[in-house]
Amino acid sequence: MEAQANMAVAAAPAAAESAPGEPVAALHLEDVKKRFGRLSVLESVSLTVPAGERRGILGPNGAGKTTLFNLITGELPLSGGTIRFFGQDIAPLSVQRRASLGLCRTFQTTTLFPKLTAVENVIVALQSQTRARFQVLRPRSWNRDLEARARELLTQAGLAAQSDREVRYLSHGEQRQIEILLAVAQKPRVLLLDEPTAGLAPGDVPLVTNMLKQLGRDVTMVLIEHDMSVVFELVDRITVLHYGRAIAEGTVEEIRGNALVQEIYLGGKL
Amino acid sequence: MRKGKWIALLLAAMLLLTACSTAGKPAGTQTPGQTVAPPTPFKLGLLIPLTGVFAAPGKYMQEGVQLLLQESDNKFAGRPVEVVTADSQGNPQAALTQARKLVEQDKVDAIIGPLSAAEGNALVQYLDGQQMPAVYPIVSSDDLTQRTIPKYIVRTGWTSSQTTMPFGEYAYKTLGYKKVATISYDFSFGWESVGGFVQTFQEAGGKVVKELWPPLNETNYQPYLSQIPKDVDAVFVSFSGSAAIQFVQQYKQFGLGKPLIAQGNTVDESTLQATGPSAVGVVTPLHYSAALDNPANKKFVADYEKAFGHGPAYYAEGSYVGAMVLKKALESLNGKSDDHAALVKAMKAVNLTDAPRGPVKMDEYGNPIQNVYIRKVEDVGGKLQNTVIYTYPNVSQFWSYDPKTFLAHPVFSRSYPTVK
Amino acid sequence: MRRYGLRLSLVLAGVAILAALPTLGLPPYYVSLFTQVFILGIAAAALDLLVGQTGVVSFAHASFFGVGAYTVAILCTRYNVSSYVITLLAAAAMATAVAALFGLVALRAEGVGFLIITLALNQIVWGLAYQWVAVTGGENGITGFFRPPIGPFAASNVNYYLYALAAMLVSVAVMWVISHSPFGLVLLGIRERPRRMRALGYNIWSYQYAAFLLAALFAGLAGGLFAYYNAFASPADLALPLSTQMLIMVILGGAGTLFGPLLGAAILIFLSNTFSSLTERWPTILGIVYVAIVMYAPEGLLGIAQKRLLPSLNTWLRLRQRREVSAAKQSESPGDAA
Repeated sequence: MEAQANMAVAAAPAAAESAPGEPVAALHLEDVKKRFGRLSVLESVSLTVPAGERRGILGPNGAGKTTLFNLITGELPLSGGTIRFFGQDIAPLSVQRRASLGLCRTFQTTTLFPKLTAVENVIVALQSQTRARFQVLRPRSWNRDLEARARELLTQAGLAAQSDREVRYLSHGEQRQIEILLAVAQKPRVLLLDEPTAGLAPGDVPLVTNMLKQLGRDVTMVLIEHDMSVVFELVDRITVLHYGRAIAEGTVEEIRGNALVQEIYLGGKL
Repeated sequence: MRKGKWIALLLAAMLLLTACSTAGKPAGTQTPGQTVAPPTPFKLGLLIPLTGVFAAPGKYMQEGVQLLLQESDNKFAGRPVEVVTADSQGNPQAALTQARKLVEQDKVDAIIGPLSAAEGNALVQYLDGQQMPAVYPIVSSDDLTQRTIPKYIVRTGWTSSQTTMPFGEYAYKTLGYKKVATISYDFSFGWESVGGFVQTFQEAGGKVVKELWPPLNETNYQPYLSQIPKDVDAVFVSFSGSAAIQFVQQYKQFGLGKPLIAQGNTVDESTLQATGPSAVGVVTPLHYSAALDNPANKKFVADYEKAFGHGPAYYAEGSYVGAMVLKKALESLNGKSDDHAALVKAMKAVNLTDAPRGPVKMDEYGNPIQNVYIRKVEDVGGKLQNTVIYTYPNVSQFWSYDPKTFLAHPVFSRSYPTVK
Repeated sequence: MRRYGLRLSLVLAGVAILAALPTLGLPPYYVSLFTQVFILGIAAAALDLLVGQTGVVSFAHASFFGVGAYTVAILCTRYNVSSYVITLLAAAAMATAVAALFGLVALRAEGVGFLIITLALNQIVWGLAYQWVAVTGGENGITGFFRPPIGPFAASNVNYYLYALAAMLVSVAVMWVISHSPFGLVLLGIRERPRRMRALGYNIWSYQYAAFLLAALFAGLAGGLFAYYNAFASPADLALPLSTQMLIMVILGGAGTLFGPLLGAAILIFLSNTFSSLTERWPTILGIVYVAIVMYAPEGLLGIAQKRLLPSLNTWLRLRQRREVSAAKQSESPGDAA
């Protein structure tokens, strides 16, 4: 983890582009637009997440939250605007290129490798960071360090007992945990979490939130979540999306008191 | 899921069965010959396509052999004949595997087959290596009996250009065509058919104005028909099977209005009725016609119809004659087939006078010298037939050329002979 | 190792039996059928690397097999090369080179698009083999070459059987390592969740491309061996039906099992050659067998075996061990008492 913090500093090539004196934002979105044909999903979103911050994204269904993630990770092309990652314009980069820069994500619906064991799932993520991913004529069982690291991560998450089971046989809560482990194993600099507690029984929610709380401040985090208690527990600031626009941004307290947000959520219990 | 296991077991059992069924066999075939022992059966391997695109003509081949055996009381030179049929699938690889089975597993004494040139070529090296006497009744690739001659294969059929060389001359001299376009299969059978025709037609003074080669799987010939110059006197084609049916029908529909002349099996009896009225008037050369007017053929056709409920095609007559050559050779050896070289030599020495197609004897290269009939498709009482309108007697594979000069030329191909 | 213990011993036992079969009196025809199984087994296992491991279904596999076959045939007839090493390496290299080109075209598409493009590419190669007579001999193919001696041994059918068996073992061992390498794990990941693999920073295209090349390499090698086996190369070696047959071998045996396709090759070759001499309706029978297997054993025969037979065999072994131990104890205890 320390090593990667250093890397984070070293690997901000476009730092010079930002205004002098001001620290480089981990994510800087300016006038980001997305249209599907004539349907405009994101009108214009501007957003700045400083390095190390935990940011929550709120908004009703259809506000464009997941679309925003897909634009940031590159799964969808931009219809307009710019996205900077530690100062670097990442619009021309492919999904995998962005990921290897440290822009990582989890998925709203669990996206694991169902027929691989938990350890293998984590190894896939771990080896993406090493030269091991190019090894063709070498059994992977020889990479003992990778396996040990994977088991360590699973043990930290309290999943040691499930390590050698195929993930399709694990409980939903365990799968959600591994979903996050995969992203963590990638050594993210920015971690986009798409409803990490989706579908979890209330009792299982802390399993996930505790994992996230343990992440160091070297990881900038952006979180989409419907469970308000989770949001308020984890984040420093909140951005509210509504019909493809960022209509409010502030600390948890500010957003709680924001009349417009109250109105949108129709007396919602913010 | 229990069912899955059962099927797996069943398959395993079938594999075991095939393995076991082989165990006892080899010992049985070599019973020591006593002086007055019952004659050992003659094992005849019939290697023909029963599945795949050539399945229909393959069936005719099977029936031809069957009919000869019926007429021979199932005996060659006093030895009962045991036929082992193997499916060559019209695929050279499958043909080779099945040839291996016939030779190594079934221990046949001779093989009749296969059908396509590709199959025939694939087998040459193996059959010669195994010294297995084989009769090729249908395979017509020219070079099989020309530049390098296999030692153990006797061709009782024809070469592709054996029929079209006389026909080129006939088209110019008798039919009076001066300008001709050709359309044909784009592989060796087509090239050789067209090559033979072009060779003699040009030598006689004719002009080939266009050669068209639709790819093998083509089913729409309109684009090719529309390329034919309007001033030709006739169009010469070479197709077979379903391609022939489609071509002849589309030619009529296209309405060029020029006479259609073709290699013989374009209007073979196996496809003629299916082609229908579009075929009427097509003139072709071949070494056989089911409508051939001689006693042997009349009997052959009558017996064939009685046995199988439909008339013969050249594929049937071909394998009938092939089996006949084998039978006569065995008779000349008093039924001895152990000396394979002698058997082959005896087959090459066979001189048939009563084959349905007329007289047949082998040239020194192992290809028959036989009549080539110019036939015209006619509707006789609602049934189409290839009426013989002219006979070139005793045509060799070299036509009127000296074999040495002929063989000095390359094999007929897309680029030879050149169109002038 | 413990995990593979039982499987490894099964495999070794199988190999020992196969190597001994010809000396135990396997009839010559079956020697040649088995040789065919070994050779096509290599190609089918290679296809499994693509279909089972990477999740990419290619119809162009026969074209690589055929390119290998023609490479050997041409080197033997035109250049009189008599070294297996040279010709077979050239066969693998040519097939890989063709795949390098095809991959660029086909891998621009995914799923059905990829399938259709590979199908079309296979047709193009077949058409080329048919039409380019000067090089390929057209429909007649290339004949007129023989197997050179295998090192100090004569090129007899039995020796070639052993040679093909060895080639299969080495190839499949290499493929096993590939499929169990970190690279192989990435391929599995791509098969199951391409979206996640991208998010993890993997360049999916280049992995699929590499898998495509590897599959072609082994197909080319197999094609080369096949040319020697038949002593000819013909358009049938790269025709679409062969691509289909190879896919059937993979599915019958069990996609993603690597050894399954070998079983699939054996079943396809033995059944088609056995049934075809019993009845001319054999394609129908084979069709029914395939449908039955796909319906009742969708994981393929080896898949089923691994899921059903292997665990029960394991349990049986364990039970017997326990019984032996307890039997030993029982036989000891009276002695103690006495």
